[in-house]
Amino acid sequence: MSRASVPKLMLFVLLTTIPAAILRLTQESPALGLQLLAGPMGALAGEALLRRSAASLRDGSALLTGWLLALALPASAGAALTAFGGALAIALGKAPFGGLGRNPFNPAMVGYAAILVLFPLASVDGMSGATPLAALASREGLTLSEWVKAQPGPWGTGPGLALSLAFLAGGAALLLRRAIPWHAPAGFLLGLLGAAVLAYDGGGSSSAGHPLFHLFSGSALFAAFFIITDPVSGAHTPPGRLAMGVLAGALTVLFRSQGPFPDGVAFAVLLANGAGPALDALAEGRRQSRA
Amino acid sequence: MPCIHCGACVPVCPKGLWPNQLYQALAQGDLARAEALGLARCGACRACQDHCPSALPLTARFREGQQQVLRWTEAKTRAAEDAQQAAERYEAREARLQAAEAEALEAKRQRRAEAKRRAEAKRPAEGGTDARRDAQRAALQRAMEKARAAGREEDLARLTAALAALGDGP
Repeated sequence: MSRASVPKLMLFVLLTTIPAAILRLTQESPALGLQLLAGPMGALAGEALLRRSAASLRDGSALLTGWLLALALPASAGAALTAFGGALAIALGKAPFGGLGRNPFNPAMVGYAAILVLFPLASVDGMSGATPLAALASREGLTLSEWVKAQPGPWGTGPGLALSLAFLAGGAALLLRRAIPWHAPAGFLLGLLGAAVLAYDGGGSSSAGHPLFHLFSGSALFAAFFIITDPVSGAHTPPGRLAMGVLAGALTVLFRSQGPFPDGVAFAVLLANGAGPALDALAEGRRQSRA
Repeated sequence: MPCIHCGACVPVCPKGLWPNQLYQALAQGDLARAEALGLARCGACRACQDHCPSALPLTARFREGQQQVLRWTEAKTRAAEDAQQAAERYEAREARLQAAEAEALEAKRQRRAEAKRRAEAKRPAEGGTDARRDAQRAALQRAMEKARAAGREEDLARLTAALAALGDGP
């Protein structure tokens, strides 16, 4: 990379998700490729319609928003719904706030939540299909160890484990190239594991699941490195980002075990984003009183 | 490109500032927040600007902000001095007005006392002084002697009544 620029940053983030995208294409169906194209197209169309500026199409942000949304949605969503979600992400999550640099909430998650609420049947689970998280929630009185034995992956993670590892690798690349600050992902993992440890009652029939199961299933690692890390939305200070991450991680476990959807990452991230400005104000206040 | 709060400027700042937040505070014209974020500590080293993917003119904006704060502080000091002077002028004027009022009151009181004293000095004409009353009493007593010697009983009674009406001596 010569000099850093916003489009280069966006493209680099997109690049680090390519292994995970290829993994999904091979694990699920090649038709998913259409969905991965439809997301960015929908988002760019929304940006073109609402921002009326060619420059905002070239900054790479709408492209990345649509791409991340397409990656987050299950294959059951399909290309048309994904394109619609991409346009909604821009129309509801970004354009009304003034475009690039001003959206308070993660646009991809705004689009995801909109699709989840508008078309609940088409998007039952996160990216890894209708699977371990949904199965865990409806395991009908099995103790955790009984249920885990019936699943293919370690800790009951199933085939989603490989995908999680692909996102982990992409996140590591982002951190090594210093493309994203480490605070939000660290906070997210801390909050997720902390809440999962607290909710883990040793594996009874009402256990929320092994902490490592939470870490390696659904969209936890995807959210930790590609969603909560959106620099624009939520908190903008290092301590604020750490706290926002902890909040999102803990809420994810709460929504997984109590919420109506198998994976609550989108709502957890949106809520944590909303707390961002308050967390920043707290961080600035503490800093000033120390100085 | 606008600031996307990527945070690339934060770890490179040798003063440990948060340039993205500082830039936002200045863009919003919030000098108090910029000050609280340590604007004064920026040494204009350009490290943040060199790492900014949006190529924002961070250093120039911070220099400008420091000058704004300087002018702002000066204006604040000047305003405080003006207020101090106004308060002093007000207090001096109040004191002056009070002194004048007290002086006028005192003069009035003295004029009244003077007038009373003069009126008192004029009064003998109507009421009669002790000396005059003594003379009257002596005259009445002499007349009573004569009346007693002459045996004019009714005159004596009249004079005795007059002497009683004149009252006792001092």
